[in-house]
Amino acid sequence: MDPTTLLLEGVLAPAVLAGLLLALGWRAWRREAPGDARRREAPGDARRREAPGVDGRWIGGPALAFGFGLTFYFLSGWPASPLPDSPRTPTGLDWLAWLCLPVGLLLALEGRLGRRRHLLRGLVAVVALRLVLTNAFANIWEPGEGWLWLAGLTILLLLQWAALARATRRPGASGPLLLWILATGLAVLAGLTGSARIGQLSGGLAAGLGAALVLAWWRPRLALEGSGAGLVIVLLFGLGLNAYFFSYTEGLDVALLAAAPFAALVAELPPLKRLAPSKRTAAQAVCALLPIAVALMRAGMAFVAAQEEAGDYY
Amino acid sequence: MKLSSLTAGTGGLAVLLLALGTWTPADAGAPVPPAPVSTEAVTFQVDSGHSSVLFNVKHMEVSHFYGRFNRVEGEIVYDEAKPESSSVKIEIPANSIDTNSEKRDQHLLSPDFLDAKQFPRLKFTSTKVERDGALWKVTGDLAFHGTQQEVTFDMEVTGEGEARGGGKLMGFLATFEIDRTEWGMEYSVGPISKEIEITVSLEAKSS
Repeated sequence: MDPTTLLLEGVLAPAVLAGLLLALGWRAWRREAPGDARRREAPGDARRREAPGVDGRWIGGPALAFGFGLTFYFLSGWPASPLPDSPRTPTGLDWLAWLCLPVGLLLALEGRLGRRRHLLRGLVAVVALRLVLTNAFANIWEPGEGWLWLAGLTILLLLQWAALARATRRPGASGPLLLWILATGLAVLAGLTGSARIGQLSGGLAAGLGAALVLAWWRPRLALEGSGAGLVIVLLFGLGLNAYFFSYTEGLDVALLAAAPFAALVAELPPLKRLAPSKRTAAQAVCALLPIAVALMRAGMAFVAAQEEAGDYY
Repeated sequence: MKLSSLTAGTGGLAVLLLALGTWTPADAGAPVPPAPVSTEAVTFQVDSGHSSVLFNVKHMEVSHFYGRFNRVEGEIVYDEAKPESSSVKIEIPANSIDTNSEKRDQHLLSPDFLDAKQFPRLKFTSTKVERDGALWKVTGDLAFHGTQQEVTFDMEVTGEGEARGGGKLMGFLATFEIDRTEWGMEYSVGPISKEIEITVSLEAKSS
């Protein structure tokens, strides 16, 4: 695929699709979401406005899922069918393509579930990880070992999810910016460590998040909190597992990337918490960027060293 | 591919000596009797140390680049009398790939190409073997990168002989071309041709 086609199909198309769906769901052409004027008068207004499920926040997951699915289709065609008589066996990446829309739609319900959303997250995490790691269960792990990995990874995913849900809960650009940094970081890391396809898919996800970022900057009442952040963390976690278990990205680099959502929480602590919203957004981005920058520097140096040693092997 | 007649081990040698012993000048010019044919299927195990699997891609539409797999395993059931009873089963560990560059090998093993951690072995299992004159036409399922597709190729028997330590040796050679995109290997089509020429040269030993 030449660079122009890659840019059009792998970046622009998912950004436009996700952006359009987000704009429609958020009704971004309105300065205020329907009902805002009425709610402004009501007691407990601020809490309700930030509650999941209002202001079209449900659209985040489905919109980004369509964008990611489109990227996958342009790069790899239809994912391999998981049906038994299929001539192709699904890869971890195929499973992510199958999962993105159902997970996005399921998570759209999150705002209506109250505390039961944790049950939904747990279910999504276990099922998604088990499917993405199907080939690791078959070819890498001893019996029993795989279930230990699954248990540990599920806990880590749920912790990351909780951290990101907290870090992205405010409306405005801070949430999309943080998610965009994570997706772009993984895209560059995977590209540097020898898996262009994982990098391109992460790039497609980053493109959708870029559209969300632009919209949220334009209309600061918009937020990816809820289904959008949930889908992104599931996809990024799955892509990271593909990079570590099925490609050759080093464990320490993946761990540094996995630490970024927790690092972003530093901006929730005093004294950063008390900063003005724009400064807090910048602080959150810098906190998340620190571990990512270390991972990218390590991977970049290894890449340059390999190029010097082996020459242009492509 | 040429298929030389198969004489079964020392039995074949005995037939040859017998023929030489009874030869007279009067036989000169007489029609040559057909070579004796083994009436039983013989199972051969592939000797990885004396077998080669090479692949050839065109790089930047300029040059032919060759790589290889350093290990090949498998079994060939050879039945000259009933070719349709013959079979070929080959397995290649993906991580035995060797292109004279460790980093390139690593990339070829990644999800961009062979996806070797998810699909660690390349497999061929014949579904039909026919004899076409001197050639054997082999049809079967070639599976790699998580995808299975049918391929057909001609196979030549390149030689036969006695193995050190007993048993029989046979050599086989096949060259065929595949389109890697049919196996879902879409990465970098253009700079690296989608057509891959595969050459399989096997030495196999009967037990």
